[in-house]
Amino acid sequence: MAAATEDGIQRGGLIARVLIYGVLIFAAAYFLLPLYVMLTTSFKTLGQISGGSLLSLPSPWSTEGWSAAWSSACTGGDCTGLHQYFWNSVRFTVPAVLLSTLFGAINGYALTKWRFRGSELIFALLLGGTFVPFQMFLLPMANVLGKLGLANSLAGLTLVHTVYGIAFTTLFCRNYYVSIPDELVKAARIDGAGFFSTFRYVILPLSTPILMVCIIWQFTQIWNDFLFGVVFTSGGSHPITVALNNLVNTSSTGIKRYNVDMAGAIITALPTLVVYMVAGRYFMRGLTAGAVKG
Amino acid sequence: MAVLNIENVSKSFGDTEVLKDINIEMAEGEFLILVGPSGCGKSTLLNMIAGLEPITHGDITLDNLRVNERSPRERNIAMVFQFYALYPNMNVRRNISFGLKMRKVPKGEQATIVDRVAKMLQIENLLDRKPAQLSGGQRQRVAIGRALARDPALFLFDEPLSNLDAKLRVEMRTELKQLHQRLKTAMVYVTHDQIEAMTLGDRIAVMHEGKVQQLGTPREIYDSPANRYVAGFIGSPAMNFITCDLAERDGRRVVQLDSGKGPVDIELTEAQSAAMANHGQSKIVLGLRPEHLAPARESDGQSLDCVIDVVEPTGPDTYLLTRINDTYTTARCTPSVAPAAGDSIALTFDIERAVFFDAESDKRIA
Amino acid sequence: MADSSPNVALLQRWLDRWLPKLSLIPSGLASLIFIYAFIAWTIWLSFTSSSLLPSNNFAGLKEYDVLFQLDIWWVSVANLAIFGVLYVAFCLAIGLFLAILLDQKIRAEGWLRTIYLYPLALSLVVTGVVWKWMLNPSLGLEHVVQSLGWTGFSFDWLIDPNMAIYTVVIAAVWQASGFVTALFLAGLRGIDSSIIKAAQMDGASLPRVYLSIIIPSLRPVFFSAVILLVSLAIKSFDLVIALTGGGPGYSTWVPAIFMYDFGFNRGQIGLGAAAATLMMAAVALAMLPMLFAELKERRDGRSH
Repeated sequence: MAAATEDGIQRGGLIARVLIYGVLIFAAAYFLLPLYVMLTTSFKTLGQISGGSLLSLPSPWSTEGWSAAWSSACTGGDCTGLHQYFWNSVRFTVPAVLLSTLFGAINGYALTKWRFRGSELIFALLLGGTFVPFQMFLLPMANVLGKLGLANSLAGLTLVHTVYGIAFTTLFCRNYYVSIPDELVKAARIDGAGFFSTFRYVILPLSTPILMVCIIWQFTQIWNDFLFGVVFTSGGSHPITVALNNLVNTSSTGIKRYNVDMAGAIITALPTLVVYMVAGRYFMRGLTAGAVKG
Repeated sequence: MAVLNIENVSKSFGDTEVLKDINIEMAEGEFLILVGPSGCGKSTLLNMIAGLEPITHGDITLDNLRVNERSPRERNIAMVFQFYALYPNMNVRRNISFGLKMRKVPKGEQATIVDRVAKMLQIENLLDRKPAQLSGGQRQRVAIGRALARDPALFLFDEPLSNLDAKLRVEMRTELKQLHQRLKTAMVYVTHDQIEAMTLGDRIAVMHEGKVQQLGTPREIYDSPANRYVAGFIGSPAMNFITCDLAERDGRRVVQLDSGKGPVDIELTEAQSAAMANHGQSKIVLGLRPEHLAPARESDGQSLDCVIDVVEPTGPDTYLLTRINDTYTTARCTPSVAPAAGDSIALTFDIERAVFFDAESDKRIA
Repeated sequence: MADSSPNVALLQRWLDRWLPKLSLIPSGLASLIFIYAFIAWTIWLSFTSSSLLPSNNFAGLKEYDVLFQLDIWWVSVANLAIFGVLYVAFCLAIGLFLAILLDQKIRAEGWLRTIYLYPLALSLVVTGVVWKWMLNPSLGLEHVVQSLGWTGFSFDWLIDPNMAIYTVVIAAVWQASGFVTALFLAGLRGIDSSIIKAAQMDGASLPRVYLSIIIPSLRPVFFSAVILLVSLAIKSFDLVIALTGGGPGYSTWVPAIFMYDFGFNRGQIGLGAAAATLMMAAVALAMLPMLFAELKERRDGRSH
């Protein structure tokens, strides 16, 4: 029996519907399983982990994994937990996100609202950065950072992430600003506003959605980066992703403390997960915008 | 003294020349219309006056000051746009005062000006609303208010009414005319609507293919179009163009018209004959507006028997379609004397009002 | 007029004219240096005999010669091929399947979509760490299945050099298939539902409509998804490091690890640069079809 739904399309009967829901819920379980395992393991004691099942709930709940991961676990050289690396990541991610978003917005604005001969060429030039594997930039960048005295520094990472983020933010902003009517900018110019005052008073107040997309996209990319972090920093200036990897994969003690590993993984994942929960729709928009060209 | 002087101005985008050698001088307090089909260059010309487009060649003078290199903010102008271009994030008050703020007018003075403008346009009750909360007509009123606040030497209008519905458009047209009569500030108004052009303009520049085809008062444009393009563009229903043979009979010039019942000679006026004296060709295009071709009464002189193919009542007038010299020709009559389709009636020519064009160059001869 | 002093007016006029261009200079310059000059630099390095430090000794194709004789390079390339093909295939299959199911007027679609997509917000290092734990041969999923009664069950791919690369596929597919689902779902939403109704009135069953009308019309989505996944696969680095560390031995090395290890740990800059250059060539090759499609579309668009 086929049943017509309210949109007039015949979609199969009850059994088919049950099957569809079954598969979708199974898929949801598949996607959620690692998150569940991460959370439950992080609250178990080592004894519970080696004695119990991967899927069992902790009993009793223990925060020893969490406190170790935050403040005492060994990450390669030292044994002070992830906290200082967490703040490292905050310290270069925030300025790099803001700078790349700001530049992207200004570029997008200049490229759409003040078009001139050659502006399309400049856009293509900027866009080039979205296609090339970052491996092409590592060797020269390591050299240049060394010459600038920025090797192994958070300032260096800020520079790297800003530079390679601009291509994406420019693309997002340009595509958004194209849809803002040119007449608005003309009106502002007639009203006596120049390049920056038009941007500040007219364009920027209309930009909240696209700035959100840029900020969330850039935040996720930069926070989650591992490659630049591992190549351009060492020791105490590692970002949290590198520190997590060191925590998990270079344990010197011999005993694997999975509760600490999982707590560390959640600490690393938490900022981007929270952003995803709070502003998921902007996240999706950034992804699809990036997918079209990226 | 000229408010605006456009001298030998041309504009190219790459290899395409969109404006060719434009010359317009505008007197103080004048309402000038730039009218033409889309792509004729009228909006580009307006943007050049505003300083939004660079000038490729020639000079634009505002208040006797050459402004070619000046940015919009250095020109004493204000502009109203087709899609209103209100700042969506600002309320009406801030929209109107934005230009004053950018020009660093003191806050107190800004408030006074906004209040004055709002009163003049009767939008006092809208001042705290955002543009999204306004109707189309209200938005355009605010956009006009924004221009008024500046108190410029010259107002520029870029098809300001074309986004409104038909009824509102007519109302706003009247209001604009009243506004101009009150302010007596010069205005340049771009439109593609020939009725707007006729009703609003002190003078009209009809533009086509990047050139000013004719610049003149509405009467001049309507009664003495410079060429066939202008004649066809202005007036609705459009002027009839009938290609006919030119002959001479008893020392008078005549044109030969045939409605399918054999050629009939229609005598031209003396002035027309005189103007035609130097015209070598035997073919000529007779331009006759529908209101100058009507069912003949007993007393009328020259007339032509025609078969009416289509009858189109519009209310105040009824239009009759017939064929003269194998061209569909429109005549106008009052509904009370309208014939039925298929009837054969005599149509009379108001030949004094007719105009004549060269069959090749399309220029008006007489 | 606004400005009293002629000099201020002149400066303002100059700024009005040049600011839009000036504002693009920092980014333009940055991309000229950090993208284009760096690309050239890396390509140049791949033609030199640079080892611990970059040098300018032109060595022709010597580094490429060396590279092609290294067993470890070919292992990396083979791993990338296996990983890339399976990763793209599974992501597309799961993504399309889930998207079609989600498109059936599902009640909790928003929630499901949120759940399917969240892995993409995670760092690949986190993904690697958690899957490493779940795939742990003694305490992970193997243990769960065994405790369900299937005591003979064995799942030790993570420590099996022949199978370890497939664990990378498992984790990577988990991370990205929700994203592909979202892409396909967006594509499905773009299809005019009246086409489906019309086809059903002509007597076509829903699966038939999907097979012969809807899926073919998703071609552009397939296209961009494939390009995206291929370039992600070629760049994959973090996940492998976190999940297997490239091991056991170097059985799960991929070119990105090769490039990093030779370029930065082993002091073989020339080899690292050659590997990077080949990676870029591979991405470019993957992009070519898209470029052609775009050009063709433009040409067709113009001829209409």
